[in-house]
Amino acid sequence: MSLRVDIHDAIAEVAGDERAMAARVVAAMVVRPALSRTHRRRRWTAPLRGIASLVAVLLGITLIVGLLSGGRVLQDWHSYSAKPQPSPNVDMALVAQLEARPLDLHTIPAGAECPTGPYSAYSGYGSGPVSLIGGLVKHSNWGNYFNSLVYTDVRLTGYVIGRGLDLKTGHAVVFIGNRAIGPAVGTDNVERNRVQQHGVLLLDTDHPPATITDYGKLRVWGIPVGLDWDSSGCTGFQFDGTSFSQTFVVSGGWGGVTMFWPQSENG
Amino acid sequence: MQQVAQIMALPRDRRTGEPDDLPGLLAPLIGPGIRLACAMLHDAQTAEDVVQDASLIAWRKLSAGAEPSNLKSWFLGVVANECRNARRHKWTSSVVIGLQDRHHVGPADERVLRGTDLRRALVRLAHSDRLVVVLFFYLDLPLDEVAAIAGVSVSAARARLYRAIRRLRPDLEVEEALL
Repeated sequence: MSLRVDIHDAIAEVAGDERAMAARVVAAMVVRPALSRTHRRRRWTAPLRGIASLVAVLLGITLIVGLLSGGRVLQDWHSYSAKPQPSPNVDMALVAQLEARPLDLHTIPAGAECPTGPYSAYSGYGSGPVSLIGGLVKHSNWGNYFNSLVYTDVRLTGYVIGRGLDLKTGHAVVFIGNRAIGPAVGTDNVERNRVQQHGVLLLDTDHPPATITDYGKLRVWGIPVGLDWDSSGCTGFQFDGTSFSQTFVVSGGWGGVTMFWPQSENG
Repeated sequence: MQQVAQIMALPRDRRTGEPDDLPGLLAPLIGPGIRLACAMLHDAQTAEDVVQDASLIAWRKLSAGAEPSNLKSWFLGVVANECRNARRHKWTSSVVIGLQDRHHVGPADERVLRGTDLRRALVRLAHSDRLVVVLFFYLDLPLDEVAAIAGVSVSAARARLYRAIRRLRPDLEVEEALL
């Protein structure tokens, strides 16, 4: 066997799932501009000394906390307790047409391998105009809510609806907050907030709220996605827009704070 | 030069003046960066952290006006530097590079043992020698690109490669190893 083949084999054993790793790095890069701006601020604070530097540090912390808690992407996540309120301008007939499309998500046996993917070149799961990556999790008696980032192509127009299904338990994914629509499928208490759970997510790409952020070609929506405690960690999503229909499967174990991110096969 | 044109042609953010779609430009390079870092460090988690840091560095440099003539070589060079830094830093001293316990307790499969031995031998190489071996044999790059990433002349890269091959496989003729 040649040295080249030996080296390939030897490194493959410790390399991990390169595609999942790359997806995570790229996703982090997409939401990085705000952070890179804080780096620039750090440069001019460097010469400050003593009390001035302490003040600068406090200001910096305030700035970062402000970015995180009041920043555009994360601000959107504070819609946890917001009641679903589709804009009065939403054409519910068009939304109903999208909802009428059958779900192309199929359950699999409990012991089967989760058919994860496809991955986005940019942003986690989903290789079409919509992709998704998870974030911090909030727990409740009912289950877990992931502060997920849903990325849509900025050129996308019209309504996009999202639905999800645990492929092993058959339980529906729920959405909460002001982009959840349709009849309430349940209620829950999340960090002392009473929330209504809905089975459908609505993104109005023609009228994104001011809090929505665009990063290059991607528009980033903060969406709380709920999975119950029975969740298998193998979740299918379907997004339907006027010009497309797209499915992808997300997998992830429980026990960390970013478990909805693409998981390494080895980890 | 094509990549310089690509960077120059990117629309700029009106507020910051930064190119608008740097993720789009860097995204295709993240995969090769991950491959390089995994091969250099033999630890997937550290490799991912390293590429994350390298992409931030690349972003900042490109935003600041860097116009590398070959974006891929330049980015992989940044990753290689970060790999070297990662091994220098104290916090990575706990990383057991290339020596996974499971291989010692698993079945005495000849292929697994050969892989373990080879990784151990790779780790013993100097960073500069390991880099050319990984770029040439694992990323399958031509020698001129290996030289560009390593920041040396082609003849120096070839010398490093030959030296590394002799250390990895003393029993193998260099020309045979290059196949």
